[in-house]
Amino acid sequence: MLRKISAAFMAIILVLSLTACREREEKKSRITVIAKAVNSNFWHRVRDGADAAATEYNVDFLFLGPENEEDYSAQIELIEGAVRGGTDAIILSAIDYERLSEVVDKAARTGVRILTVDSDVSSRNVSTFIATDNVKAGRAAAEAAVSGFSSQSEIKIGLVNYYESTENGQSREEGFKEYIKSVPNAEIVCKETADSNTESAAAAAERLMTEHPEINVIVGFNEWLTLGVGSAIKNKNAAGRIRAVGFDTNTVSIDMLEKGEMDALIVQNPFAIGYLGVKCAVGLLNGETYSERQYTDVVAVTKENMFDSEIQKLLFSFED
Amino acid sequence: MKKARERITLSLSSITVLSVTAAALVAVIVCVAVFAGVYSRALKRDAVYSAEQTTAQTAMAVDNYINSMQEKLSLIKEIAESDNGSADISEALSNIVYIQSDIYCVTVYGENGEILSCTGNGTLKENVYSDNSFDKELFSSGDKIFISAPHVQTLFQNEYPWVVTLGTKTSTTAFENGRYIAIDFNFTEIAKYINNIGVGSQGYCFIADREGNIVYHPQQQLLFSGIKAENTEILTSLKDGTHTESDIIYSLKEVNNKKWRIISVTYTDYMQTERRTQVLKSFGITMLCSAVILFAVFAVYSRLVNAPVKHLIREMKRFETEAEAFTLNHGNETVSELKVISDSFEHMTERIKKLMAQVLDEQTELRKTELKALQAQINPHFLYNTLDSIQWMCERGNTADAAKMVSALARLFRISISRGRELITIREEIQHAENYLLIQSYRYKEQFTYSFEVDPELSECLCNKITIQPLIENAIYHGLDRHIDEGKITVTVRADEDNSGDILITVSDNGIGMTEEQCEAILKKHRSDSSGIGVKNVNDRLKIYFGEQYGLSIKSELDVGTEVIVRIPRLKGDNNAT
Repeated sequence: MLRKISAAFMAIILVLSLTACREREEKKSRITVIAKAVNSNFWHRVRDGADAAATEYNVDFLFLGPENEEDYSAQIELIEGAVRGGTDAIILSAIDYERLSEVVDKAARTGVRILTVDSDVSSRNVSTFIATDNVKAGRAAAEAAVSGFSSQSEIKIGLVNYYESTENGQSREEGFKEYIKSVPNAEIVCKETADSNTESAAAAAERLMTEHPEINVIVGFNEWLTLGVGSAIKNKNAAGRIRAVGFDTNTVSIDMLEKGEMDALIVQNPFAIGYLGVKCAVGLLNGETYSERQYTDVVAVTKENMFDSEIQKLLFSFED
Repeated sequence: MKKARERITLSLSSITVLSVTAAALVAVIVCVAVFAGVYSRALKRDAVYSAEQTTAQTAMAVDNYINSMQEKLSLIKEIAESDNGSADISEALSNIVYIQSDIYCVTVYGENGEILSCTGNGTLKENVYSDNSFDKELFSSGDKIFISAPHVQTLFQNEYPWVVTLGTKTSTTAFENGRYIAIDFNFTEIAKYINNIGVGSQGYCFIADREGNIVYHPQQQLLFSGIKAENTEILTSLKDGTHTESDIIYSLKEVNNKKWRIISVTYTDYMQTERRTQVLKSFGITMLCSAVILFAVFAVYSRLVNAPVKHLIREMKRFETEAEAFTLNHGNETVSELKVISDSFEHMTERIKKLMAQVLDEQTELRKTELKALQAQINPHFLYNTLDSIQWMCERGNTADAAKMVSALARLFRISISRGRELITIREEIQHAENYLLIQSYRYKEQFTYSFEVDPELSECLCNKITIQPLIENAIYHGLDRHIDEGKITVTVRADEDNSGDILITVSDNGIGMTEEQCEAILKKHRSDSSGIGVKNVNDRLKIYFGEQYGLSIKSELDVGTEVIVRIPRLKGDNNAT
């Protein structure tokens, strides 16, 4: 009888100590964001958003990324390191859609929740994907492109997109074309492809302008192409004559907007992407579920609205 | 009926276990419910308290920033209004801007916002498209010092910093038409400070003005895109202090001369889950603890009460089966009530045992007395018939036979009486039987013959008196009386061959015999004329005197004969028995 009692006591003490251990572990969740890069304006603002959510939800939060935006092997190491470090969730922006899937699956098997932002990865273990709706962004760009014209005037559009068949650029172009079809007096006259840098884009834009002098709209489909289009318009002194629409923001493109070299910028909301990433990670850890894809909105910024109190909050981040 | 009753029968221990468990369960549930209420209130109180504190601290920090900015503004105003030339003043200002990292630029404005001088670290734009720092309405509001909401500064090339503008009217003479002097302070520091304030487990701080417009919000980039919204209606209606609105705790405190308010927002819905897990956890722990205590209590209870009760029940059952040889084995009797019960039971068993022995003794005595009385009795028919025979012999002048009969009768009676002794020697018993047979052989003329085979060694051993005579009587009346051939009665006395010491007396006849049922009946039935000693009485008497293993056994076969065997122990006679 006495042995029985002591055995029962031992068992109870064991159970209690185990629950105590578990309690300590559950105290504060650890969330790791692994970005494509750490130095760009876009990722800074993703980090700000993630930071805001981490402060609000009281979780530990780490922001990591490779030096180079093409270095997928560095990302693999970062994921492995985060798993070893005992992270509860990883918010990943995958440099490579295929090559990261193995390490993601491995991390998921250890119980880490995986979310992707901006760029998805090929894995069933991704709980949710949060990104800008690029088709919608393309549509917004088209809307901004035609909004400066009356319904009588003919709108001739030239596009500058980049070579790599990345999903972002194609989706934007698709959305853009789709919207233009619904505008009877607008047509896409020509398209140039360029490398994703200012010089190449500027050259492409200038080519468009000389080969098709009738065009009155030029669109650049990412941050660098936008800068190229802007500088081409500056070089050709075409500000006001040709309506320029671009994507994303930095101080240079904002300056162009202010000077009238750019007419509209389609601005994503990286802060919201970062914020939603961490918020959903916390939710997932608390047992909630989210839809497979969540999209954030874009805003068309023009010279007229750029200093509206709401737009400036979106457009300008705090320096570090 | 009996089964149904058995089904609802519960043992004492299970009733106790059930009731104690139920009581413990109710107690635990009540405790946990009370605890949950208290814990929930404490949790909410803590949250309110922490929100209040955080808000107060933040308000103080923001006010400190604003105060230091105001001090710097008055200092710069003094410099600008000094009598020195504009070049000197510009240099002094640029030095200050260079040293003071929180000052982004110092601007002197004309009446309608013309920039008369702007001292900063960057390169001024050639064309200023929009000067966010100059707000005509605010500047002409008449306040001594006016503070703008945070905004983006747009005066310098390629720089768009977040600043807050502090301005005041100036009477400077150094700059022509200078009407206002304004400083753009870096807002990043304050923003970072507010960004890093987490309230409770889920919450944050922001700044709004009296009208509910948000001055600065750490997640202001979300507010515009609709991912997040602050309920400005509630915020304007709430007074300073701490308020709880459904699942949200708002704590408000005014800063900047009541123009702004620091608002902290704490979400308490997470408390629900936290409380639920906490309550469940404490419930589990309490259940475990009470289980341990219950276990211990049951162990002690079982040891002190249950086991002794079961022991007592076992003892009672044993008493039912073996009452005579029973003595109570005492179990562990620490509980006084059980000791009393056990003692009473023991007392009762002793008493019952005594009574049983007494009854047995009394019964035996009664039987003995009864049997003695029967032995002493002379079958009146036998006496009458014998006397009738003697009379008839005398009438016939057969005096010799008559004398023999009388002498036999006399011996018969003498042995019957035997001075009140119960046990007589086998020799005497055989004599008694011979005398009886002699008398009977006169009456049943030549109808049967008889013989004795007695082991001479055993003739001095003792046996009950009048053992053989009733058997012979039975043989004559039931075996030979209705027999046509000449009957033959043999009486043998011998020692049992296999059983050491026992004496077997056999009375056998060659009469009509009996069925097995008759044999059994004869050992159970009293004699029908109810006088004299029957076969049953002989058997009873032997058993009473010598024990169960002794007595009569009958072997009989129809038309062959009957053999009655008497088994008695070998007792050397000293005629000392009563």
